[in-house]
Amino acid sequence: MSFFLHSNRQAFAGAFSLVMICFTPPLYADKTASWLDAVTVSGYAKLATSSPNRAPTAVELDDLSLFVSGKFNRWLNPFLEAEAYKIPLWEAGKGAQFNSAQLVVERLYNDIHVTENDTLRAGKFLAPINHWNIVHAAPLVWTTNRPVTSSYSRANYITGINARHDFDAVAGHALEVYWQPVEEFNPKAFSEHERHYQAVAGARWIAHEDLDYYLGVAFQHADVAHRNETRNSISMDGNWLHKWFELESELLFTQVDTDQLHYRNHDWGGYAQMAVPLIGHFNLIGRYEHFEFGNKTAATNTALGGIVYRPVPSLSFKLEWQQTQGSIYHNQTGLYSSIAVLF
Amino acid sequence: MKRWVVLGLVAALMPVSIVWADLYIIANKDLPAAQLDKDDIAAIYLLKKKHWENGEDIMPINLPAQADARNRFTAEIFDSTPEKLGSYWDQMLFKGETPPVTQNSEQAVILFVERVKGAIGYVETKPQSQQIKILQQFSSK
Repeated sequence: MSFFLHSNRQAFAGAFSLVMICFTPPLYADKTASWLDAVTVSGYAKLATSSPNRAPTAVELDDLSLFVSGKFNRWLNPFLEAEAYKIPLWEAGKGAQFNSAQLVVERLYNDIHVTENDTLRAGKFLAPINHWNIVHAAPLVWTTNRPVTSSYSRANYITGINARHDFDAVAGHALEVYWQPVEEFNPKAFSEHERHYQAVAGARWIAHEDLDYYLGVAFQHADVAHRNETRNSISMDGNWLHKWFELESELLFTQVDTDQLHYRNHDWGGYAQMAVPLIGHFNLIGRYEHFEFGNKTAATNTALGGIVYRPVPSLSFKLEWQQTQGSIYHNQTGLYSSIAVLF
Repeated sequence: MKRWVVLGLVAALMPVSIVWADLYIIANKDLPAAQLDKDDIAAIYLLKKKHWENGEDIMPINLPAQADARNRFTAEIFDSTPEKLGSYWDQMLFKGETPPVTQNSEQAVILFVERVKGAIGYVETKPQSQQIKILQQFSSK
């Protein structure tokens, strides 16, 4: 909610709106076309139930996201995603609750298509650190819980600029380079185990991305906000969609230079995940993850098994059991389920 | 008896093939493009190629997931299935790219392409309209 109170942010949003208004009218020489034809409104919702061993069973509306995109011309292709998240609905011992919600602007940017193969993006956007971060919408991923490797240790959002060059559109061979010169715009309210970033620079080389598989390598240099801490990460992630199964994996190493309490000078970890189609749109999911934190003595080892019912690609029902050993700050042993829909 | 065994063996060894009709990739006649190859068509439907040579926006048109022509199109262009392509488009929607517009019938695709200059579609019935040009034809199998 603080977004609406911050004068700089109001100025940013005002400027963005002004640009949209100024650029839009000349785009349609065809009198029969409306500028609304160039606008797409979409979104997704995720209702989750969690029953971890060391916390009460709870039901929450984890995500209610709305995104609006406009495709007006080469210069003006704005995108806005606003999200209400972690809205508690019911908790064991407390009953029904409708008393809190978090609201955040997840993405707010404009794309300029400099050439057919070069795109310049400015604003707040998802950091291209891996495929999971780029398509993290609940209906599009296999599990209710996200692997630690895919999100921890690096900036997930960038407020700045991103340049992308596509070497081969069909094979998906591309390179992205991004830079965040200032602190993140309208950041999420994080827990004590997460962090905000002051300045970030990074790149992702996508070796291949099509309907069958993708492979990417990412690098990120990040200064942590309000701490004397610098992080340099390198990671590789890939996915292979075979007729009979889907394999996905990511490996990450982050060198951490900090004056905070730490037990090692790095985070590192990785996961391997497999999805096997069963009968009637049911899928069997398995995942194993190992992650070592620079600031925690114990590593975390998590095994996950679950069932996903996905009658159409945009709707999924998930039920999973997660067994965690070691550090439990990000993954707790327990039963989790969710319903997610993309609309 | 021997004849029946031979006939049975021949029948068993014959490949089971799906009979497909011709597939036409169509666009408005006013577009400068005369022909498109498979890679161009794939790039358009992967939402990677967004503009025609004259700068006009490309608007790819789709048929419903159950349509035979969509099965044929996905197999011919991507060697894949409509489900995989549908999942890909859902991901692209989340990334801010608008998936192809779906029309309910081939006739609707033809009407759309006749009226919208940047549109491109695919049909199994050869269009007779003077407003339409065929950019590529894939013969029946």
